[in-house]
Amino acid sequence: MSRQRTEPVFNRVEGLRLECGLTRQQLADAVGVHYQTIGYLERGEYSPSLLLALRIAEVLKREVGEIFSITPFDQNEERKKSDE
Amino acid sequence: MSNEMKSKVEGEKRFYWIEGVTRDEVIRSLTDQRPTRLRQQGVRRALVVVYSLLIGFLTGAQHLIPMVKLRTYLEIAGLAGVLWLYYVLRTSVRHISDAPDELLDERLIQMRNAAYLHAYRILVFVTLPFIMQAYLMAKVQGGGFDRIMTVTLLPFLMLAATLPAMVLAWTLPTEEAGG
Repeated sequence: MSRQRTEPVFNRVEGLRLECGLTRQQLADAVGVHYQTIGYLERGEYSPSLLLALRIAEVLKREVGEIFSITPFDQNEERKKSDE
Repeated sequence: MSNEMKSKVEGEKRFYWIEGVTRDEVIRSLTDQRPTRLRQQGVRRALVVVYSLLIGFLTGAQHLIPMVKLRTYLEIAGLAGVLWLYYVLRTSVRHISDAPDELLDERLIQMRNAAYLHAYRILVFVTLPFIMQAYLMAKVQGGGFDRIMTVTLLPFLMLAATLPAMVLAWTLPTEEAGG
């Protein structure tokens, strides 16, 4: 096992899930995981594999980068504004 | 329930010989969203403590209780308790510790594998007292093989079989309500 602390992965799964009108169970069923895994994911306590991230993106009809990020999403929006 | 999980439920009823569980048993356990005290961390930890004490009792009863008849009855009751708690502990962690990969998602597989890693490390430490007891019984007390089996090997095997579930029961947080 690595001694390095796992780098956090930030996500917007909960907000986008609610926008789509899905419960955790429904999203879990759609992507083939246990409903608690969605909960852990939303709280940032679990980082999904690439396959799971892609499945979630497909269900939520977003790009993976719009849902998951290694920097907090507030910082992402500020960076985009400064680039513009 | 997802289509994947439905197909698993409706599929052939299968018994996983190495894991000692049926497909139905695991799926039902994983999808059960009824509120139960077994999902609370405090209750699970209490089960782990009681189970450990029972194993300790079964191993050390011969030193604690000199009366043979009383000790035998208590050992039988203790063994029944161990077998029942073995089932309860596995149920409390939704059979994650005993489920094959195909019935778990990626997070549950990671959780199960980590539990086995910790259980293996613990097992290295707990094996020594059992070996010492067996040696003492054979060399010093002149115990027969059947007696050594009952008071040493049987509790050890039950502990080894349950350790991954005990690790999970101790470490898992109280579960949130169904989503």
